[in-house]
Amino acid sequence: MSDQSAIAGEVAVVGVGLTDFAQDWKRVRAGERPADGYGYAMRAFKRALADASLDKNDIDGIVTSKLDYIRLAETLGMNVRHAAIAETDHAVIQGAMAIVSGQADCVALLYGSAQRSANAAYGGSGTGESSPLSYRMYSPWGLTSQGGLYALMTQRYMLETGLTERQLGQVSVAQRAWASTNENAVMRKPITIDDYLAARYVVAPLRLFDYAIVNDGGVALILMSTERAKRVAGDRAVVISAVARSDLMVDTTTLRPRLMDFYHTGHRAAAERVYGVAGVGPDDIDAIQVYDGFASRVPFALSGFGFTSDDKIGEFLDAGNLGPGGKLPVNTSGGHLSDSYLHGWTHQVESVRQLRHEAGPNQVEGARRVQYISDVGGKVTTMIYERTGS
Amino acid sequence: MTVRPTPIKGVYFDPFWEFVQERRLRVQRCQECGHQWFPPSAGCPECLSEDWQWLPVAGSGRLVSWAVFHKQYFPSLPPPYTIVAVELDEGPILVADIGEGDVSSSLVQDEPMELVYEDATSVDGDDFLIYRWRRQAEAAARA
Repeated sequence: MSDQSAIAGEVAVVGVGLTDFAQDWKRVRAGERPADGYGYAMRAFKRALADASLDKNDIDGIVTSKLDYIRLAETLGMNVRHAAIAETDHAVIQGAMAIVSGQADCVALLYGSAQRSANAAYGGSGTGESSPLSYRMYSPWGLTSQGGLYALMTQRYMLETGLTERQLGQVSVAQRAWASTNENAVMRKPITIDDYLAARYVVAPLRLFDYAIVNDGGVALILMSTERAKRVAGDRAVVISAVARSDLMVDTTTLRPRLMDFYHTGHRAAAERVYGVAGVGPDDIDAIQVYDGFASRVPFALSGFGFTSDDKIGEFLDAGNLGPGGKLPVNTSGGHLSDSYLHGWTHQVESVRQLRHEAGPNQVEGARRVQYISDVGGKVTTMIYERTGS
Repeated sequence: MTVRPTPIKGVYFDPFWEFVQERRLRVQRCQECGHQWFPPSAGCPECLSEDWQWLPVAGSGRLVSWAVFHKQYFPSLPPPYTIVAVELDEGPILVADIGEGDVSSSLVQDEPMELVYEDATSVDGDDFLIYRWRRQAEAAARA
């Protein structure tokens, strides 16, 4: 059986770029429309090229998500020999696959979204035909949002593990603390656990601070073979040392994998492979980036990947492990809850910055390995990024 | 809460909702391997057989989880309202609401639940029967 190891160590990130999340947030709030999704992707792309000291003509492959790659390539004036659309963070795997299989030598991963300025609806009557069946099938009872599904999952998890709302609140508090020292983050004002508990419920047991912010932005990463990346970027090249994916689609619309398993079967399968291929374990990970569309995804992931366990999760969160100075730094830029909600993409850039030791006040001292974990809709995906320098 | 978003339509959802109009919710049962599944689809997700039948469910199950909507998503559904996930005796989990208001404080994990059918009107103006969940304890108290 494949252990998904062909990519392992063979591909590296040489350039990263983000748009100005906080600044664009203010502009959108003031009624401006700073760019469309393609425009945000273009801005991020230019920054990633500059970061890597590359020209756009050096790029021979693109992978995007949400955007149409035909329009994207046209917008950027590029004729490439490999282009693909991936779902969210799977773009990293798609791009790496293109490189190891010789489809392209230098791949740009490009994402942009004007979800805020275009008034994207998450839930309600804006739920279109292309949405997952679980967003559409329960509409007669008023359940159409991912938040509603996560509220059901979180409630069940609280019943099963004894996790309290106050303990869950530590996730949002910790991530806001990280965001408070990240100048590019959208939400920077620190919050206390009392602020968290005083905030309104959206779908109980989830409160306002458990939800990702909906903002505009773009993200770009540039990938090469590790061999070439080291020549081009030296110690600033960050290697993808292992990836793994394990899907739980059976009975997904009835929510069984969420409510009965918290996606743990997928977590465990992906953990076994990613740590096996990388030759490391949870103790060797210096920081974690979790796709945090909702705060409770952090405890699900940390428990499922063995950083703690379901029966200890409450005290683990209470101990302040996740925030600045904690034992297990999680979502060190502020994550989707406080930094920027760009569907897992910002987490890749934050992983790279941490491993280049360029994360400024949010730098995790001596970080050598950062793990990314996502389980969007039961598609458990994980990657371990590794520093090349000493 | 009588005006509701229109139920989903489709090749397999249309007959499913026709059965609901007869106060008899059905899931699919595979004639080859006996697997029972929901939501309705073309064939058995276990063995891929397309030889299946509509199996009427008993209409009872156990409470798996709940969530209380405080944000308004639809003009005709004012919050708060409580959604529950119930595991049918036949196996599949079925999500529906349990009524207006925040009733979460009265709910107990794994407590027995039963399906009820009620008149509703869709936002498109069509009258139809909808299924909802009710606590068996509440039904017993009423009897």
